[in-house]
Amino acid sequence: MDSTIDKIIAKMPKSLSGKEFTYCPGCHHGIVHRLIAEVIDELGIAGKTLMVAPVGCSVFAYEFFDLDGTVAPHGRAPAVATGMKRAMPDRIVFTYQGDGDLASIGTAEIVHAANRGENITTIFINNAVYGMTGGQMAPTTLLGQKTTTTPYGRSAKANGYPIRMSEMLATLEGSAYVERVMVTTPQNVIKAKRAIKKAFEVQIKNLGFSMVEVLSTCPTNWGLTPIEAMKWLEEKMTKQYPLGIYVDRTKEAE
Amino acid sequence: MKMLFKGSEAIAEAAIRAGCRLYFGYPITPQSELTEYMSRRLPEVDGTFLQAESEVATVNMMYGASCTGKRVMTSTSSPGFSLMMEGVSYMAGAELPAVFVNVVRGGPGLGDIQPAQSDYFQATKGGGHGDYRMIVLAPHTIQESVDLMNLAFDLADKYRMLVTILADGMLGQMMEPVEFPEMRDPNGVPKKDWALTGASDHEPRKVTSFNIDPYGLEEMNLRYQATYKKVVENEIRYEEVNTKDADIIIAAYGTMARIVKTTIHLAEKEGIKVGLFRPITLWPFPYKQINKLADTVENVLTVEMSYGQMLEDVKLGVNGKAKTPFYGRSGGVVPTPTEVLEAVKKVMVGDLNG
Amino acid sequence: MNFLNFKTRLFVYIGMFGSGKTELAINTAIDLRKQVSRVALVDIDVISPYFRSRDERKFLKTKGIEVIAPPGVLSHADLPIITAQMSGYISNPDYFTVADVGGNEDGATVLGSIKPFLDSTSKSVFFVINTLRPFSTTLEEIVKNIQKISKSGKIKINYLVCNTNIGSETNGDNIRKGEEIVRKVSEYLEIPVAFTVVKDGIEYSGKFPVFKLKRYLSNLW
Ligand SMILES: Cc1ncc(C[n+]2csc(CCOP(=O)(O)OP(=O)(O)O)c2C)c(N)n1
Ligand code: SF4
Repeated sequence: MDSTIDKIIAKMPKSLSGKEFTYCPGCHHGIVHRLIAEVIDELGIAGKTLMVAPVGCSVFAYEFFDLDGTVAPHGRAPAVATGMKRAMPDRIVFTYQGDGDLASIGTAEIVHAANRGENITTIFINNAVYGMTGGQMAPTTLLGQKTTTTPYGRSAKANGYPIRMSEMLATLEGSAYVERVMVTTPQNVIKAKRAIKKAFEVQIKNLGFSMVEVLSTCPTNWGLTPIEAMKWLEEKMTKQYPLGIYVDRTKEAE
Repeated sequence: MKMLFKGSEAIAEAAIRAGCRLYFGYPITPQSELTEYMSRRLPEVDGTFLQAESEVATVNMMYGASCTGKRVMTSTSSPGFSLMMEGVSYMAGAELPAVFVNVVRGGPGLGDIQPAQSDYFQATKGGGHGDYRMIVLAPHTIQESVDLMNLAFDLADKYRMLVTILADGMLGQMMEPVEFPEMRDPNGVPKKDWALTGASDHEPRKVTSFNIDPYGLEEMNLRYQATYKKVVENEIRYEEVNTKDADIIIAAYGTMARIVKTTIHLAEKEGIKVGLFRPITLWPFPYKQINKLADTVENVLTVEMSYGQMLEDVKLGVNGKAKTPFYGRSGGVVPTPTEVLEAVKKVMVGDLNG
Repeated sequence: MNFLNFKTRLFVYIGMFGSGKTELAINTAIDLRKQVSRVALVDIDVISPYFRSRDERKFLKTKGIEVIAPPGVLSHADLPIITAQMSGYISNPDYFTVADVGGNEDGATVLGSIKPFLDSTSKSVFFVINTLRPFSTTLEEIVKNIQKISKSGKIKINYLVCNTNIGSETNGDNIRKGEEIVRKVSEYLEIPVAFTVVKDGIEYSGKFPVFKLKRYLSNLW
């Protein structure tokens, strides 16, 4: 890991349980976990936050956070979070989901949670591949990208196009805040944290659905070193998935 | 005061009386009246009604709501129940209590919207993956549906299990006079020491169906099995009508049992004494009780609005002590009392064997 | 009940879900048929999946009544089917027609789609009330229901009908209390009460004319 990033996030946030992460070296899941935990600490909401972990490499996320938590069926985290939030509207509920989880098997659930303006926060890890099951194609896999189920590279004709979830969800009126970030440099990490904090604040203020998409590395399944993976992300992924705020309806809502 | 209620509406009102304030659902005939009743009634009692985007989402919303320790329910009909099976399995694994109402219609596939009992296997033998059980209650009148609703929520909480009310289109659609129990205070239902409510006053809690360690998962499974054993020991319910000195016993549940009650009267006029064995809990099934009855007759005739699903449990219970013939119609066709009587006569003269 | 006294040839039953419209419509058609030769029962209940007039089509045919409903097997579909034939009967001056409309706002909405035919015909619109049904137990609830339904059906209500009952267990006391509430609704909305429905077998006389009702909808037991 980049040593500067290390310094920024060196102190263990209270909202992390201290259990050792199960992620591969150079994987961004861990960085994002820390950022979420820091935000929860800073907002002082640990005692009223419920987390919904996905099925994917981050299936253990509910163990990594020192919060009440559960694991949803693959893709269903937004529905589970909806149930929690409707049962306890004064609690803070967030989902943590990969791209297979959110953008493939769980598209219906995320679209409708956003469209209802469900007052929950989603942290979406887009690593352009299925990590957990061994590097198969994700809906976010880039054209030409080789995966274990697109051995000749993803072709638009056979597999369609890489799906842009942030852009899509931003069109829904229930989405109050949607931003895409990455965590490759200290500057980016600071921006990402700001976005995550904003997303939680949106929920605290009852403004509607909020999501932060984090472009992330999967060195293991990309077959790249952590440094190469970071470069590939910055060069290739950001072209298909430009960073930025896709919708911010918080002013209107407030 | 008695009022005139449709089966679906009565079940909904009974759930509210039982302290349920959370309903998630997706419209499907022939139970949409239940969903609609909830959408009208829950806001009156500060409850939450949400029409989900699908039954898949519905069951997962229930999962989330149940995690918080509150009473939650849904209602659906066969195709919707199939879609819920994923969440059912996850909830069973996470030991989350909840109540499902399946107003069964003709299947398989899209089938039709007429009453049937062909989801018996799905409800009692699994449907979702893994070694799990749900308690399955089968009312045969609207008043009984109302009474069982309270029980359903209590059993769900007590054992941290899912409870399904297996009704059918006929029960859901017909109207009868009913009397409701008192409204229970939703805050009065037992507090759950496992619920996810925010870790401000407890160590962080985790509710999942997940354990990557096979020995750990085996342990969880043994815990489920221990619970199921307790349910089998304590919660079996059934009704016997006219079984003493009967010439023949009919095993039937739900609407079918109700029709058989008329058959009993028709048969009486012809000098045949028909007894009825009516399981109220389809799981746990009253095996021992039907086994005892089998000692007293030559034939236990199973009658269903399906093609021999409960029959398998009847056979397990009777265990060879009596013959186990079968009569059933399905696809939305409901056998009449006279048809059942014809089947009885055939059994008695040896034309219908089991 | 002499339905000719209403001096119209179209009788429309609307009301809350499960208020007893279908049974009333069938009884009305049978009563009418005793006095006139051409009677049609139009089933425009698009929301009830079971226990509809169309399920009694064969029986009603033997009574000389035509049931106009979606044809054959489609009548078992849960599709909101309105056939052109229906509007045809409604505007046909040779026929006395009874319309059985589905319950609640949702059931009445369909009337909007055949409004031109309804408007061109002289008709009596009855709002059926059973005060022992959910959401219909008080003056306030019933008034709200009437306003909502007449709005969604875009139709003016001419008469109220008291159909308070709890099925087989109904007694005179139930009906008396029902009449009391319906009378208040009538005064409040200034809509007259046409009659009170009393099931065959119950001895009752009260404030309003009595319409003796026979049970025709089949029960399986
Ligand atoms: C119903 C169902 N189908 C398939 C799977 C297998 N599965 C587990 S994780 C996963 C994809 C995970 O990919 P992603 O969401 O991108 O997360 P990542 O592992 O990359 O973090 C799949 C297909 C499952 N658990 N459940
Ligand atoms: S497989 Fe990929 S996504 Fe999963 S932990 Fe390893 S690097 Fe991260």
